[in-house]
Amino acid sequence: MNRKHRLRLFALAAAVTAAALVAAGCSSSSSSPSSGAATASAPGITATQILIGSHQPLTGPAAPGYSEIAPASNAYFQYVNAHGGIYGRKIKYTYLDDAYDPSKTTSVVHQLVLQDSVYAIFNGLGTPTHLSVVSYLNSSKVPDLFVASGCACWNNPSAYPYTFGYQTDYIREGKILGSYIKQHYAGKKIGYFYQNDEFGQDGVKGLNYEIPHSQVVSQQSYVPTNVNVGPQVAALKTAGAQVVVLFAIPAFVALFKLTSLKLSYSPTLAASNVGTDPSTLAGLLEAFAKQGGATVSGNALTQGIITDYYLPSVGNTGNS
Amino acid sequence: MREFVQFTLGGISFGMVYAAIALSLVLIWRGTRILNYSQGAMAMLTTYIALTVINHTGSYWAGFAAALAAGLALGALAERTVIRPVENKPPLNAVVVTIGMLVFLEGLAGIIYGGQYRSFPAAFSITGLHAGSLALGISLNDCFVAGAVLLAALGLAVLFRYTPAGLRLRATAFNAYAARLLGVRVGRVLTLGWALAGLIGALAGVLVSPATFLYPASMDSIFVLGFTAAVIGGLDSPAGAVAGGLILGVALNYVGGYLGSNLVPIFGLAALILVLMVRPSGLFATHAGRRV
Amino acid sequence: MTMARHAGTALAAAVVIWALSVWLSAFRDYQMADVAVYVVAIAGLTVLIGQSGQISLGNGAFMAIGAYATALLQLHLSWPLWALFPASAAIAAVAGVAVGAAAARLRGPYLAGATLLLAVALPSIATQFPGVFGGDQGLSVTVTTPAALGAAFPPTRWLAWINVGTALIVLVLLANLAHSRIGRSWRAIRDDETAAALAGLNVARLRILAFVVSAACAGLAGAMLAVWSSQVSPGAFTVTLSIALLTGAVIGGLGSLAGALWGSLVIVLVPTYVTDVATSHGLSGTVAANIPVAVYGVVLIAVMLIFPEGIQGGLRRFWGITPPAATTPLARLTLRRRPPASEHQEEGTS
Repeated sequence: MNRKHRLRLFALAAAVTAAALVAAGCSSSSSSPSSGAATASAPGITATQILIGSHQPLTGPAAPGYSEIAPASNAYFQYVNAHGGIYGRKIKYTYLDDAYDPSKTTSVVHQLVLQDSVYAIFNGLGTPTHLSVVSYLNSSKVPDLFVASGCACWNNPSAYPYTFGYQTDYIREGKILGSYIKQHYAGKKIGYFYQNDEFGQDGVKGLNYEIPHSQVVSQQSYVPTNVNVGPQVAALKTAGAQVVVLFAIPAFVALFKLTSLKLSYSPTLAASNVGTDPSTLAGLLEAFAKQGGATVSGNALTQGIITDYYLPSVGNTGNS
Repeated sequence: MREFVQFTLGGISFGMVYAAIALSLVLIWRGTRILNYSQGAMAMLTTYIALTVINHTGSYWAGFAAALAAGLALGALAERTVIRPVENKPPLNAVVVTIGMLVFLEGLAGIIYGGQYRSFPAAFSITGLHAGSLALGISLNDCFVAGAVLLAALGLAVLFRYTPAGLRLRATAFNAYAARLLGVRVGRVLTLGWALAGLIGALAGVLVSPATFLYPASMDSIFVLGFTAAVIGGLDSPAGAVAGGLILGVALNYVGGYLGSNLVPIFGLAALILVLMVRPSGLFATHAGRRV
Repeated sequence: MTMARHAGTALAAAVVIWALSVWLSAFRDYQMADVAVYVVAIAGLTVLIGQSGQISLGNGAFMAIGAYATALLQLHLSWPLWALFPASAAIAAVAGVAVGAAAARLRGPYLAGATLLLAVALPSIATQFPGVFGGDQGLSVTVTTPAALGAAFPPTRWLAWINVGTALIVLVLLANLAHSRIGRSWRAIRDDETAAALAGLNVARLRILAFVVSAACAGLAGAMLAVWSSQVSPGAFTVTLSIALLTGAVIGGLGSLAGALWGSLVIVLVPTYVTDVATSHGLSGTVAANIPVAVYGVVLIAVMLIFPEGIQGGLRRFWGITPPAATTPLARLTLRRRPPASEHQEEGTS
């Protein structure tokens, strides 16, 4: 091996080692926030701080609609901290972006658990994303609380004893909405408009438990990547559906409403919890109240939608 | 039958938006032989600017004008700063640079405006029109969208054919060397081409955003289909771009309606491959591709 | 002799990395395994772009094919790990033949656009057949640490060993390929296709072969990703992934295998670093998450305009080392002056 090649080999080895050293250096410096002497018996808890972490879609196509959840939780934690914290300890909430990409979720959750030593993972968002880390969290015995997903899979104490969901699962929601519709809209033609993944499909399963099959005239699905829902709405209109049940995210509930206006179609709408936060929906539709020659108004568009929304809305002081 | 008519009319609205994006891609391709992957992202940013203006002034048309002006400026700025150095280099450089612009603009929009959905107003009413008692399934706004894009395409055609600037644009696209020898300031002409493309892209952005809501990644799928339309119609042919957009919009609406929403991207890919295999220079190209 | 040199380098690197994996923390081991995934995928892509001159924006789709192959083979046939990796590479290679044949006539932006559309459309196939592919939730993949290593052996270190070992083997194979007759033929068609055809090279077949090699590498990387993240779902294989691979290849240095390493390190380490810096300055989570995205874009543009040879090119200049004959003169690929526009009337396909 001549001198040049030897030099290259040395350079490569040196570079790799240097990179590793830098990486190790970054590692030790960024884990300093929680490296104070732990006086409690669990990682992430010190005499002054409780560190919890989360994975959220903050960038990418799934971010709209979900990127505001973590800041909202954080606002509440700041409120708690300002009022004495928890036994004198302040909550530090670190939420990292996974762009709704399960491989990125694994990466950030490993970072939170191994490097930042969080006490618990809180409100991990998304079904496919959280599924990629649930076995790891349970085998590492990290509390996994308030998973932000309506999949029934979090209710599995034998396999995942450290995981606790909190959302009503979508099948149950379907049964709740379905039984209301069966009661109040007997004999009417029903149509479904659902997201073509487990969220929507589970909802439809629940609906079918309650609504008699003969009443359902059309089932239309959409995918979040295709905002043109004209064909689906047209199909529901042609089938004559008088009541349409939506298992959709707020953007697509809004799109359904707007498209049905265009097609001069006005069925009664019933939508599940995920799609009907009143302030989100109103926000999505508000621009249509502002246009020149307006004949539609934002809030009026949301009136009359039946929903099983189960969280108190912003501004509702009944629970304070 | 009524469904079929419904699908056709519905496809025209989105199809016109694809046509606009395709038109801006063709403009840039003819002038600089570069495919601008950030065309959609530029349109997204100008639409955010329009929204800011609308919220401040309360006037839709002020925002509309602001978007168009911003599109002109952004296109010209991109060409002068970032594209000029890669114009005479191998195609890979331009691909990487325009993708870099795409990523940068999406990140920038996320930083300035946040990632959540924004509601963008439509120019005209979105309730369905009626012919007597028959519901037509399109709104006044849809007619505006179609009309605006057609007007823009016609305006470009007039510009190219009857104005000195248009003549310079065509000359530079045909043979930049000879044009330079004849006294054409090629650099300025290329900047103008990019600026016009930015204008048309901005138009597409404000026209489609009421139906897609506005967020940093909102123009991504619109761009992909606009690009497909441009290739199908022929990257050298502006008329082909408009035709390609219409055909694609309507065809994909049929796919979505009769076969299911999930199959739309697969059919888009299939259509693209089919055209590239059978008629590589596009359906409406004025000359056949070189065959070896 | 070349093969021995490559194997020797790989062995030395293996020893260094083994030492690192023991010395560094469990999280760094996990990151090492992640970097290895990207090294394999980017190595395949950089060979495709740098050695044979074809631009692909769709290698994320081949990674998806490899990943799903691994998940399905493990689920239905219970194959062991050492069989899953080659099988996934082979399946992706078959897909590469199909795509390469369809794309053999395309050039430049047309090829880039067609592969981009492939990356966009392929994940829909997984959701179209949820019974087979598990729909949006996807399929899970399990990897168990062998009992021979003891019960207290950290699973992340085992992952690092599997992935880095595979990456080193792939790098040796690719280096040998680059030095062989095939590598020379690729560079010939990259530099002047007409001359190469006149010299008797079968251009179409060589182009397809390059595609197959890069698809096989991407498929293997997909298998490694499936093992590393223990879950395979469509959300992991969006266009963002394909763009990340291209970014890594360009930043690291096109055509260079060492460049694949630099590019992977940048992709894995820089975004988290930038986010950490941003949050420590008090910026909100959402803004801090968008800053790496914007920085990404700026870096891509800057590298292309100012350092087109990437990190490896810069390092070569720094050490005053002339590249061995077999690796690509990076300058030729990115700095070559194109013929003026008039010759481009029918460019794009052939």
